[in-house]
This record gives sequence, C-alpha cells and structure tokens, in this order.
Amino acid sequence: MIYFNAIVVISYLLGFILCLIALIKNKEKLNNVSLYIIFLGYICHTIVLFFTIKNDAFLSKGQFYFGLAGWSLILLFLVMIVKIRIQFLSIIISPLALLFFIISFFITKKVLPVPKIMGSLWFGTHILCLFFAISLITIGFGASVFYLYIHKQIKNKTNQKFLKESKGYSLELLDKINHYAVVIGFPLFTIGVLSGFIWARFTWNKIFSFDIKEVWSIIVWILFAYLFHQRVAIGWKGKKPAVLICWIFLLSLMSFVIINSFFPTHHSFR
Amino acid sequence: MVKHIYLIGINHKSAPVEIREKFALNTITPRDFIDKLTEVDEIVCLSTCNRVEIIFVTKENLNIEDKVIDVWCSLCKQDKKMILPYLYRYKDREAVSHIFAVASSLDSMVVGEPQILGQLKDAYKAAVELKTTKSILNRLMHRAFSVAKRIRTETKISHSAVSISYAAVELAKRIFADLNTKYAMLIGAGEMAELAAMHLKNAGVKDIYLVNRTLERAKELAKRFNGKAYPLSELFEMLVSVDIVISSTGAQHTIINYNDMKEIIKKRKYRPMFFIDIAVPRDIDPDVNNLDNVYLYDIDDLKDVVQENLEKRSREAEIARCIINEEVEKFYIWLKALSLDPTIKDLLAKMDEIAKKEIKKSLKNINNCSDKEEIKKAMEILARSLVRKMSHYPIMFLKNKAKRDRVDVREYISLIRDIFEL
Repeated sequence: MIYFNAIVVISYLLGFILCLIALIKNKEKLNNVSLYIIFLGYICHTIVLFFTIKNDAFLSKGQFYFGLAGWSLILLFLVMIVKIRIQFLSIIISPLALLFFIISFFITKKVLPVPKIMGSLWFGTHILCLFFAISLITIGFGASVFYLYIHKQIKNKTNQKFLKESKGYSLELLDKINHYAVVIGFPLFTIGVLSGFIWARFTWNKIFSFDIKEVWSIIVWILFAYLFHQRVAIGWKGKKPAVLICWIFLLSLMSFVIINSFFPTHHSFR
Repeated sequence: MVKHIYLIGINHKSAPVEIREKFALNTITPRDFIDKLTEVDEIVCLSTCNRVEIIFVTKENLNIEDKVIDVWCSLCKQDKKMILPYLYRYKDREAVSHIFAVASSLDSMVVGEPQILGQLKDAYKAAVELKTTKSILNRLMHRAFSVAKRIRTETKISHSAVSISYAAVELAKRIFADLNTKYAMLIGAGEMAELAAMHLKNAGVKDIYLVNRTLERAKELAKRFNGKAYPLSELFEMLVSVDIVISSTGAQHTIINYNDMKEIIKKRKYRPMFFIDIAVPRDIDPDVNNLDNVYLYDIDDLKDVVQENLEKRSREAEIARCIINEEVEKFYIWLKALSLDPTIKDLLAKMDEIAKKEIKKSLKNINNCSDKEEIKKAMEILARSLVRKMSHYPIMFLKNKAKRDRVDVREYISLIRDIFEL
C-alpha cells in the first residue's frame, strides 16, 4: 500500500513540475507527458481508495473524504480533456489533488467504524454528486484564473510581448471550460444538496437543522444558482462568470477544509 | 547584337490608387503587347493592387519605352499624359535589381510580406503559357524567385512579419478558440485593412464581409476576398453576427459608440468581439474597450509591435540589398556569356568552313600524287593557304578601318596584337 501511496504523490508532483516547465518554456509536448504521468498516479490513487473502502474497519472519515476529493478532481479533469484540450490546467489541478491526498494522511488518525446509515443510496448520491460538482467548480476555477490573467493582458495592452508566444488556449476556450463547469456542475450540486436533505429526513427525521455546514452550503448554492441562471438564460460570458466561479470555489474550499475540520457540525471529520 | 532588359511601371509609392486602377492589366495579357510591338523579344506583365510593371527585352532601340507605354495606354484606353508623371523606368542592371527587390518583397508596402512572390510567379506563368518569354526573361524570373528564397532564408525580413496584420491575427487567436468558425468584417477599405483581412483569411476565418459607404467599391473588394458586400446602413445588424471587425473609414467622427456596442453585445449574448481600428481619426469609441467581451485595438495600441518591427526590418533590408547586388552581378556574368557564346560558335563554324574548302581542294591534289615528296608539298600548300585565309579577315579589317572608315586604327592594331600575342 505504501508503494501505491508513494506513486500517487510522486506522479502528481512530477505532473505538476512538468506542466510548470511546459508553461514557462512554452513547450506543449511536455504537457502531454505530464498528463500520462498524472494518469498513472490516478490509477494508483483509485487502487488506494478502493482498499480504503474495502477494509472499512480502517476507514477514517477525513482520510476518505480528502482522498475522494483529489480522486474525483482528477477523474473529471481527465474526462474533460477528452472533450477539450486543457492539459495546461494540470498546473492547478494536480497540486490541489496532491494537497488533498497528502492532507488525507494527516487529518485524523482515529479509526472509526462506518455507521450503517452511511451506506444508503441517498448518502452515496449526496457524497458523489457534491464531490463531482466541487471538482468541476475547481476545474472552472483553474480555467478562470487563466482567463482573468489573459483577459487582463489583452485589455491592458501594455505588454505585447505575449503575442509572440503562441499558446494552446484562448479566452474562448477557457470560457467554454467555465461553461461546462457551471452547466454540469450546478445540477450535480443541486442533486447533491437535495439528496443530503432527503437522507437527513430519513436519518434524523428533520430536513434542515441549521448546521453551519448546511447554511454555508445553501449560500454557495444560491450563488451557484445565480451564476447558472446568468450563464444559461442571459448568456453571460467571459469575465463575470470567471470571477463568480472563483468566489464559489473559495467558499466551497473554506467549507470543505475549515468548517469540516474545525467547526462542530455533523459533517465534521472529527 | 546586344539585348537590353527594360522595366517600366507604377507602384504604391509612385502612383495613387486611382491611377493604378486605371492602368491595371487585369484582362490584358503580355501577348497583347507583343502582337503590337514586333521589336520586343520577350515580355512579362505584373499587375497587382499595389503595382503594375512591364518587363521586356529588346535590341537597342531608342524609343522602345515610349512605344510600350503607348501600347499600354491604348490597351487600357487611357490618356498617356495621365500616367507619365507616375512612371518609373529602369534599364539593364537597374531593372534586374528592381525585379529582384520586388520578388523579395523589399519594394512592398509591408516589407517582407511574401504575397508578392506568388503574384510574380503567376505573372510569369501566364507569360510562359502565352510564349512571350525566351532565354533572358526565363533566366531572370527564375533568378528572381531564387533570390527571394535566398533573402527569406538568409535574412529575417519576413521572419519578423510582426506587422499590424500579424498582431491582429495573433490577438484574434488569443481571443477566439477556433478562427474557422468566425466571421470577419471590413468597414471601409484601406490597404492596411485589406492586408489584415488577407492575413485573417489565411488564418482560416470562415467568411469576410465588406461594408463600405459606396456599395460598388465594397463589391469590388468582396470579389478579391470571396466575401460578401453590404451597404453601410446595415452595419449595426452585421455587428451582431460578426466576430472580428477591421475598421478604416475616412469618417471624421466615430461611427461605433459605447452605447451602440452595449446594445449589440447584449444581442450577441455576450459572445466576444474583437475590433481593430486602423483609421485616423478613429472610427470606434475607445470606451468600447471597457465593455466585457469586447476587445478594441487601435493603431497606437499596436505601435510598439510595429515600431520594433520597422527597426528590425530596416536592418534586415540592408542585408537583403547586399544580396541583391551580388545576385545582379551573377546575372550579368551569365548575360555576358550569353552574347559571347554564339560569337565563339560562329567563329568556329567560319573556321571550319574555310578548313573544309581547303581540304577539299588539296585532297584532289593528293589523289594525283604518286610519291611522298609530292604529298609533303601538297600539305605545305594546304597549311599556307589555310593561314592566309584565316588571317585574311583581321588583315582586311585593319586595312579597311584605316582606308575607308578613316578612324584611328591604333586601337584596333593593339587589339589584334593582343589577340595574337605579337
């Protein structure tokens, strides 16, 4: 098991470094190499995750969730690459996945038996949909950071040196990633939140318990719903959705890392 | 007799566009010229939007240039007086040097822009098909193409084609994911705008629309780009569907304002738009750039790119000039050999003829000979008469020069002494 863990860490790290070099030196081929390495790491990551679930006696909540966060992030990233060439985004995606993976070892050492209630269909839907949605938000965030940077360069007109290096991405492409993240991510997020409420209804006999995590999630959902509406109905493109998805990402990250770890909530990892 | 290379023409520097249009040789072929001018041996006509040039080869003839101009004017049905002040005329080395410079795009409006080479190749191909070229122009044209290639590889002249159009295309690529699905529009038509449109077309833009105050001119341009022409009144409707706009009208006020664009971008559902305003004064309100998803660049914004480019270009152009001078020399060495070759050939043929006559005569004598002594004698006669016949020409030449032409023969005498090493 330790070998698999090591391979995951090394390949995500290597993927990140190669992608960084590719971006600085403007060598697109390196991006593809980094992608293969990340894919290798991802396979090992899957194996690690599989054994974590199988030996559920060893499951610690934090370890599992952080592992799952990194895993779903890479999964959606790889799926998305099939449709759009966004290899360069691994500069943001792979360190995040690596971070989640490493955190998963430190978050808690306490081994808890899995309660029976967690095995239900609603709970599974709740977890998977939300993790996929947040992974999409993360990819959208990565694309938006790129978008805002290039957008600033083009609008400011000060430094035109950037014109001389051809890059594999354009504003339109980056906006398209944002589009997918919102259009697919929001329904997933909604299903995730709803299934959570339904599960709560069955488990605790109440839908909403004013838990800080729940309130926070509703706020994020409202923001996300606004973005979804503006994109789909009004046709927003470019800078505004880019900025908005960055906020949604930051709020989600805070919810995941800070609230779950340090606040007394029934989502707590402790 | 020595042949000369002539070049007459007008270009974007010497003549305004109205003149170039009137004297363009769009439907007129080099065959039309050569049919009317029997004294012209070879001819190639180059006619593009920026230049009209006629290159021809003929024997020394004082009025030949004027005759060609007369035919040119009559073919275009224009008055000769109109073109005369704009014409440039080159002969021999100057003509060769000029055509090399044209081929390597040193004479182009945007130096280094390789389009002209293709146009020159087409012009030459047309002339070859009409059989109006022979050895000299064939050689000259092929040299011109290889000089252009040499300059392209040995200098960075087209390397750094960081012109406005280049920057426009690069910016467009940074904004749009796939130019193949994008539409470009020209508002008004300056030459720089046309060039940028050409670059965009080469980069794969799906279609080009042309909008102009006069629909006629728009249609004319549309033909060149395989585009579609629209009147200026439809401008705002067009803006909803096009993605890249190159504006270069002569309007005194802005024609697209902030509020107009605010409405249009909403109608477009915020699809991004890229404006290149190369008009002075500007056609597009600079505030438009503050709108989301609208990117506006004007001449000043691209100045850095262009300025840097110009400096680099002029340095490279100097190197290119040196290459051209070198190549002109090479061409002339070949041309000289061309007139020497037939001379040598003729000289040898003449000597051969003399030899044959003399051998025929002495063969008769030898056939009658019975012993070796007589054969020896016959051979001696043969050798002596050969020498006499051969030296007859230079000797008669000198005597005639002295007697009949009454010129100073000393020059010729020394020449003969040189030749025979006396």
